[in-house]
Amino acid sequence: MTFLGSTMTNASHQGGFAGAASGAEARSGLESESPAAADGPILSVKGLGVRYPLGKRSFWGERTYFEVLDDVSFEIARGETLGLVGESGSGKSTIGRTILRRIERTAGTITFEGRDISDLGGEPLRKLRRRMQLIFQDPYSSLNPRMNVMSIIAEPLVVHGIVGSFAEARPQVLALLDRVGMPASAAERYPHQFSGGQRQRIGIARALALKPSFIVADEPVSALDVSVRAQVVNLMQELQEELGISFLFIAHDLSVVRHISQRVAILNSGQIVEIGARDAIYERPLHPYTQTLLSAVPEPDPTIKLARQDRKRAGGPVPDATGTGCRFLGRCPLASDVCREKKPVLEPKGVDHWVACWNA
Amino acid sequence: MSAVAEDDLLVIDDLHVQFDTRAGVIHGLRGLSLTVARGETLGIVGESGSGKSVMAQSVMGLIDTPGEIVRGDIRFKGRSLLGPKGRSYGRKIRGRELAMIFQNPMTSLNPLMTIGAQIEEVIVHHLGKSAREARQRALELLDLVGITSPVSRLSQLPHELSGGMKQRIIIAMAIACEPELLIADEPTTALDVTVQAQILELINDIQKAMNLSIILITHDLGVVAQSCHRVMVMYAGKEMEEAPVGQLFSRPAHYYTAGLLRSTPRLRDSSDRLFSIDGAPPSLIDPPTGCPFFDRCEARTEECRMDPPAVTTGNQAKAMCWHV
Ligand SMILES: Nc1ncnc2c1ncn2[C@@H]1O[C@H](COP(=O)(O)OP(=O)(O)OP(=O)(O)O)[C@@H](O)[C@H]1O
Ligand SMILES: Nc1ncnc2c1ncn2[C@@H]1O[C@H](COP(=O)(O)OP(=O)(O)OP(=O)(O)O)[C@@H](O)[C@H]1O
Ligand code: SF4
Ligand SMILES: [Mg+2]
Ligand SMILES: [Mg+2]
Repeated sequence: MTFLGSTMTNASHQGGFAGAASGAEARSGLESESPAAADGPILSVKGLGVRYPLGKRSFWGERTYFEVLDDVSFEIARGETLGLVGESGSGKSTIGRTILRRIERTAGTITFEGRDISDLGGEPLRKLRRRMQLIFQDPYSSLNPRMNVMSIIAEPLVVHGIVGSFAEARPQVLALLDRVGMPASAAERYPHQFSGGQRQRIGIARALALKPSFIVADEPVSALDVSVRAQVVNLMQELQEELGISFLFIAHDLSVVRHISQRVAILNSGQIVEIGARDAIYERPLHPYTQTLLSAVPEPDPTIKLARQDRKRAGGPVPDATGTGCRFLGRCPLASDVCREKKPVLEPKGVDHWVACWNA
Repeated sequence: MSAVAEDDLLVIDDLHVQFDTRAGVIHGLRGLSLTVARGETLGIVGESGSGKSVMAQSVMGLIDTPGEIVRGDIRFKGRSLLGPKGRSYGRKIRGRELAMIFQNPMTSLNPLMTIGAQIEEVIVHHLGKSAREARQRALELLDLVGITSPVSRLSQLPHELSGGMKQRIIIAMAIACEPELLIADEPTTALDVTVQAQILELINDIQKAMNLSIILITHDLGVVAQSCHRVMVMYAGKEMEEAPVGQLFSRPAHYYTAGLLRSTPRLRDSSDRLFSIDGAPPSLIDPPTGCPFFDRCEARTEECRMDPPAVTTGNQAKAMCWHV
C-alpha cells in the first residue's frame, strides 16, 4: 500500500456526513468544557478536511479521493503547546500547513485569534503570516546557503516592511541571536559553518523575528543528535514561557512530546483518535491506537523490556477502503460490527480527555 | 584489550581511517578498537558523524577514495581482512559469513527487480543452489522474517511494499547464507515506532535462533537498551566507553555517556525541563588532542588535554577518561 490514509468515493463520502454531524456535537462539548476555551483559544480548528483526487475513477465513474485529513477539530490555548503525534503519512504536516494556509483545505474552518481565517487572501493573509510562523524539521536545507545569518534573520523584517533595509535590522538581529543563545559574531557567517543544533537556533531566531503569537514546529528536533536535541527543546520551552508563544509541536517521538506539551493529540490516518491533557494521554491512554504507539517506544532502560508486539496491532496501516467505519479497524484488537459501520467521533472520557473509539 | 580471546569473532585493532577532501583531511576514525564475541549483540551508539558507519564500511571493505585505512587491523576469525591477502579472504566471506544491513533501507533494494528474484540471486550466487532450491529457500526465509503470504510477495516489486516489509526483505537477504556476523547500520531509523518494535523483535529472535553475532549501530539509546548485550559509545571518531548493557545504563562511567543518558527524554517522565549538554562535538578536520569531550565536560582539568587512559570499570568494561 502506498497510500496510508483511506480512499473513498464521492458517494461514500456523503455517507460520512452522518459522522460529521455527530462530530459537531462532540466539538461543542469541547468548547464548553476544555479550559482552553475559557480564555479564548488562540487557534480553533473545526471539521478540517483535506483531500486529493486520485487519478482513477471508481466503477460507477465517480471521482475517487485520497482523504488526507478527515474532520479534524482541536483548539490551542494562548501560551500553550499542543503536541501532535502520529505515524509517517498520518497527516501531521498537512495539518500544520493547512493552518498556515499553505495548503488549501476542502472542508472546515480555521479560527485564529478570534477571527475566521479560512478564506483570507491577499494583503490580510500576508499580514496574518507575521503572527504565525513555521519551524522546519531539516536545519540543513531550510536555510539559504548563500545568505549570511544576518540576512537570513533580517529577511522577514525587510519583506514585511518593518525595517527599511537589512542594515537597519542589525540591532534586532543581534537581539534575536542573543535570545536563541548564539553569539553576535554568528551574524556574518554562513549556514554551513554551523552545526545542526546551531542551524536550528538560527531557524528559530528567523521565525521569532516578526514576533509571532503562534508557531508550528514541524519535527524541529528530529534531525538533531540527542546531545543537542535537549538544548533546542529547552529553548522552545523558554520562548513559550517568556514570550507567551503558542506552539503546535509536531513529532513522532512520543518522549519529546511528553516533555514539551501541555496537551497532546494523537493522529491516525488523518483522524484525531485521542486528544487531551498530557498526563491523561500518557498515563491513561484509552484509544487502542494510542496504546499501541506507547507500548512500542523502546525505553532507554534495559530493565524495562518492550512487550512482545501483537502482530495484528503492530502491522502497517491498513486503510479502511469504504471510508464508512473506523480507520483503525484493520489493526484494532477491539474491533466490533459497529466499528465497520459507523465512524467513531471524539467523546469526553474524563477531564480534558477525548477519545474516538466505539469500544474504548 | 590486546590479548585476543578464542571466541572473538571480530577484532578491530587501533583503526585509523581518513578522508582526504577539499576542505581538509577528515579523521573519521582515530584509533578505534573493539571485539565481538560469538553470539553477542554489540551496540554502537554515538552522534551523527562519530564514525559508526565508517567502522562498518571498514569491516565490509567499502572504504574507497577519498577514504583510506591508514593504520590498524581488522581480523575476522583471527585472519586479517586488510592487505592483499586479507582482501581476497574478505571477498570470500562477505555476503556469506559476514553480512550487512545498510543505513538506508529504501536504497538497498533494486526497484526494478521482484523481491523473489533479488533473494534468489543472493542464494544462487553465494551458495550455488539451483533455481528451484533457491525459490524454496526464499520462501522459508520470508516466512522466517514474518512476511505473510510469501508466495505472492515473491512476484512483487519493492515499491509495492511498506517500509517495514522492505526492511524484513533486506534482513531475509542478509541472513540468506546463515552469516556468523551481521552488521546492522541504523536498521530501524527510517521506520515508525510500531514497525521499529517489530523489526527489533525479529532481529532479537533471529539472533537467538541462529546464535548470530550482531553489531547494531544506532543513535537511539532505547534501541540499544532493548536489543544489545554490550554497548560501545563513540564520540568524534573514538571510543569513549564500553560496558555490558545493564552497567552502561545504571552506572555510566564516562561524562559523555552520563550526559547523553541524562539528556534523553523518557516516556514515563513528565518533568518539564530536560537536562542538556551545552556545545557540540568538535570538527574532525582538525580534531583537538586529548579527550574529544573536553569542551563540553563539567569535570575537565588541564590533564584532559592529553589522551585519556582506558580505565577498567568492570568485567568487559572500560572508559577513556582521566576522572572516572
Ligand atoms: N499533493 C498530494 N497529493 C496526494 N497526496 C498527498 C499530497 N501531499 C501529501 N499527500 C499525502 O498525504 C498524507 C499525509 O502527508 P503528511 O506529510 O501530512 O504526513 P506526516 O504525518 O507529516 O508524515 P511524516 O511523519 O512522514 O512527515 C501522505 O500519505 C501523503 O502521501
Ligand atoms: N566518503 C566520505 N568522504 C568524506 N568524508 C566522509 C566519508 N564518509 C564518512 N566521512 C566522514 O567521516 C566522519 C564519520 O562519518 P560516519 O558516516 O561514520 O558517521 P556516523 O557515526 O555513521 O553518523 P550518522 O549517525 O550520521 O550515520 C564524518 O565526519 C563524515 O563526514
Ligand atoms: S577525560 Fe576529562 S574532559 Fe574527558 S570526559 Fe573525562 S573528565 Fe571530562
Ligand atoms: Mg511530516
Ligand atoms: Mg552512519
